[in-house]
Amino acid sequence: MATKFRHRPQNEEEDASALKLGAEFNNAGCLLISEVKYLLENRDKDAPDTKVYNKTLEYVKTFTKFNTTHSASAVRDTLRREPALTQFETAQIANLCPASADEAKSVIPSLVKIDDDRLEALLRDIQTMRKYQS
Amino acid sequence: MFFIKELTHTILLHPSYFGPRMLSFLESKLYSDVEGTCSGQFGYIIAVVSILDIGKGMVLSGSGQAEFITRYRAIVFKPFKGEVVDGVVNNVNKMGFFADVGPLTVFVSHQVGLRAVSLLAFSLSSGLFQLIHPDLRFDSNSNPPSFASVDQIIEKSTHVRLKIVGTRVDATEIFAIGTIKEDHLGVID
Repeated sequence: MATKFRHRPQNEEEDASALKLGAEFNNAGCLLISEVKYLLENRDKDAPDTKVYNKTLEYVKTFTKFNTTHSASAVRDTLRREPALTQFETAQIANLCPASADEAKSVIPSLVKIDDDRLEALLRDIQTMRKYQS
Repeated sequence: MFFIKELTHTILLHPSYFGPRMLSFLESKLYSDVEGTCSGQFGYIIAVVSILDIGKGMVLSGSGQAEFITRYRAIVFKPFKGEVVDGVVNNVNKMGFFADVGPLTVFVSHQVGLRAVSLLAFSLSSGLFQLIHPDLRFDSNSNPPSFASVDQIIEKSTHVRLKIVGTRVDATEIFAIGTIKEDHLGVID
């Protein structure tokens, strides 16, 4: 009986708003859109000509928020100041760049655990970085 | 969400390839086998970042082929229910619109009690069927077709922020349904 439980499909339990990403992804490293763009553009191999690859490259070029590796890692450092943030939340904040604590908590519901003032300060720092990146 | 993930892939190699160029052949075979594929478990495998271990290569009794279990690190994309993402609208029709989120296409429905949704076999409660605000109406006379309200317009290549409300996973593809009928979702500039 125990094996039956272990093999039950995990799809039912996945819910990003409660940070449930399934067994495979709960501890996986999340990438920011800006980091994906850097990795794809700096491949030493030739780019594969697949639909998935080309659509992704176009997508990350459109929605990248930080266009240098320096600014992307600065954002990660800033978000590391708040130890309660998980990988997933870190990446969501940096990808969506919400303007206020209210907006952040609405698009990333699991952020309710963080105090409004602290969150607001973090978001303000990120907006500043975004504005003044070279 | 994009992830960096360690994965394994099994390659069966015919004996005619055993020789000095075997390693480079194995590498290019790994790249061509896995890049651009999609599985329900890991989502879309977009690109291999590095090969960690090409494997020892066990010759199988009976066929003479060698089996390599390679470990590699790759960029994968997997959508989750409840996740908010940005996308680009690529198709608008009277039932709703489709938005591209990287390799994934998300459908945002406008009709109540929608046939297309039940066709895709999503189990949503009936209250969720209308996922676009009723103020946004389909404008059949516009070219290209669009949804428009007093202050917003959604047409091809509009950028939208949407929330994924359900995914259905096939062996080789993922389908997703999204909503823009919540605070802070909708057209972005």
